[in-house]
Amino acid sequence: MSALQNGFQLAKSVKSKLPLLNKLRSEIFGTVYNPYNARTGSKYLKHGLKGPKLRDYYGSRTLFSTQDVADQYNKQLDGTGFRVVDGERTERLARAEHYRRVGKAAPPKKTEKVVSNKKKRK
Amino acid sequence: MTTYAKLFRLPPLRKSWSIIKDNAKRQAFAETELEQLALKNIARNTLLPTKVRMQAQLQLASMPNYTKISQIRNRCLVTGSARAVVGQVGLNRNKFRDMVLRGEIPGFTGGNW
Repeated sequence: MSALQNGFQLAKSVKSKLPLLNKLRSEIFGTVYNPYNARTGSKYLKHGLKGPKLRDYYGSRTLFSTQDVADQYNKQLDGTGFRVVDGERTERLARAEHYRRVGKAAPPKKTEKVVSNKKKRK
Repeated sequence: MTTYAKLFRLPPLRKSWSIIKDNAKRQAFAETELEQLALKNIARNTLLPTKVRMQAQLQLASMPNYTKISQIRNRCLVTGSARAVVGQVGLNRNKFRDMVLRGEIPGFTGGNW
């Protein structure tokens, strides 16, 4: 046997043991053993979520009115004679009350659903 | 999925219908993103049985269009236009130029050559 043939023999024996080595390696380092490179769909879970960043493009969604703030303070001011009042809201309610008295208020809402012939888009 | 009313809620900025729509899509996507990723993972996994993969793919396809990320577009925060939006700032190029020349955006100056 020549030196070259000897070398080929050695390479063959090493190649047959390579999968075992890879398996052992994946066990040690805690990776997935995937010898045939099957598509497992793990690449979709690898990257982080994009939603939280995209959600706040137009600013955070928290929306509160002056009435919400007033309500929170009024809880604490329960025993005392003071109250926080939302001026705009009281004005608006007064105006609506006035319109109702005069008979110019908006009509009551429909309880039945209106069936439309239009095609619904998703 | 939550109700539409929750999706359409906006912070107090200039409200154009295009911005409101885009914002709703963003909220819808953020809420269903995890579900979409899980379904995608199942559908593309070749080790799973074909029936399961097909079911996942069908479920993914049956989700409404407004929950998909491809529907989202960065719009100008002031004018609501969808074209020539400067990415770092989120403004249309005209609005961006105006504000830069007035010195209202830190880190940007007009060119001089």
